[in-house]
Amino acid sequence: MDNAMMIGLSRQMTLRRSMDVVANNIANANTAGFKVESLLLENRAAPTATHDDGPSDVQFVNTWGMARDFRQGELAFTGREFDLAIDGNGFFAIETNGEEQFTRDGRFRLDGAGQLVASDGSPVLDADTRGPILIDSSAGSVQIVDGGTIMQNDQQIGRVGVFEIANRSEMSKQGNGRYTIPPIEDPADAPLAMLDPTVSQGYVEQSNVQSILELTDMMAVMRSYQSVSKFLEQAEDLSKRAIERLGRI
Amino acid sequence: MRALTTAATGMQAQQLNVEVISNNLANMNTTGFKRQRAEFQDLLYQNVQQMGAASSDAGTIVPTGVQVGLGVQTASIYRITEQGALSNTGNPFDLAVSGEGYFRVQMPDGSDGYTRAGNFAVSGDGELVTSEGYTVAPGIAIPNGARQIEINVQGQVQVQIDGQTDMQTVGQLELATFFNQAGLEAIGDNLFLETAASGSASLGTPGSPGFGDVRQGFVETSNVNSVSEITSLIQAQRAYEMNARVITASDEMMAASSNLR
Repeated sequence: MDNAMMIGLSRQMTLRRSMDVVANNIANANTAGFKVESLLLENRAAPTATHDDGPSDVQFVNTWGMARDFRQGELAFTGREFDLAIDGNGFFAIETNGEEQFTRDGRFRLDGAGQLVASDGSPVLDADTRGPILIDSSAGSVQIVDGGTIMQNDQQIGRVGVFEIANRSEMSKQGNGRYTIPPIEDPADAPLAMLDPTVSQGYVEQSNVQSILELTDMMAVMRSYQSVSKFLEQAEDLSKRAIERLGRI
Repeated sequence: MRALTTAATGMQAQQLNVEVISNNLANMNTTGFKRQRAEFQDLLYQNVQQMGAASSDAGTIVPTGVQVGLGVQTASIYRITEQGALSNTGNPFDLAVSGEGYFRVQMPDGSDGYTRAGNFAVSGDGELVTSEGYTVAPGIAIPNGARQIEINVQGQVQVQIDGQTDMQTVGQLELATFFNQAGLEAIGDNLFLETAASGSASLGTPGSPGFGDVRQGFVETSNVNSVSEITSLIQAQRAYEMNARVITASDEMMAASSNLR
């Protein structure tokens, strides 16, 4: 009997977590560069409580990992000079506290010193120098052409770095739309700047959350939670009746 | 349940979004107004299961961790400084900047303010002032009896005085540019103040490289595009509704648990 209760509880715990993930997806439905996530579940076998002829194992539900859907988000036209969007693979690199972080959110700007920065003021890294990008906006308008090359007065003044990450499942989210990768032991494995990325100026990559899918997920999670509750109630009812019957003898 | 607070951050963010959009729409006809955009970022993530953690003694590691996000936050409210359309008024004291640059204005406390709204006027002392009566730097005095006032694209102010045939130059307007215009602090009345984020102002003559032209008889209208504001409003409202649905659903889940007895 306890088995049924425990299995039900393990399912409810994962359902609560799924709900948290769905809520985060919906909360970020308008966050540029956000990638939708879902929980991965597995069954974990555990020996039953004393049960001679029953199944040898019961299967508990366990969260196994997090799946991130890196599908391309829609590109929305803004016309702003330093709104950049990547079409296809790759990430922009931002230097935060001496560490390289990666993002798909390309809403950049110039700071008071003329550096190309993200919204928290951290510099965006150049593909070739891996240092900050300096732009003198008074010297003329800036075009960012295919491949991320920054042109001003027909001269190249830098190249916005778009880096290829080999194993995207290793990336850890930091909030602010940023990802970090685990420390690299071999410098040869470090992310490389892509030679010919597709960077569109004046566009923002929108969140790839599909609200209709999230809402149906949410309903499914809610209903299964309710049905597990129902089944816990029945399991409890069963044990109650067993105690009543046994008491009569 | 995190879902409740996560959805609450989503509702707060969309509420702010609607506030920014409504301010844009309210200022649709404000001279020199630059529209704003609320930018959102995801909040912190809680590591439920660290990626790269050892999953066995044999050195195998967890390939993908479990990170549960805690919602959304406002990264910034960004001012989009693209050029507004110039509208012809015919008034000689209406000036518009076509291109980069702000008019410098002497604030009552002696500091410098900056504005794109060039709907100026002449004070009782003959000085060129903003609609609040603040002097337009570097201070241009229009002599008494001036019949015709010409301000050319380089910002040179010339007048013709009654009884004289030649135009007389009475002043030179200047413009200020910034590395990061979006970093200017808006203080209302179409005025901006310099901040550390904007960088310091570099002053120059209109029409010189890096500075826009001055157009007499025009005002710069606001750069709010009503169609895109309305579509953003629809998006924000729907997103708000969806977050509210998540709160209802989480509430029902909690009710299901508490009804277990």
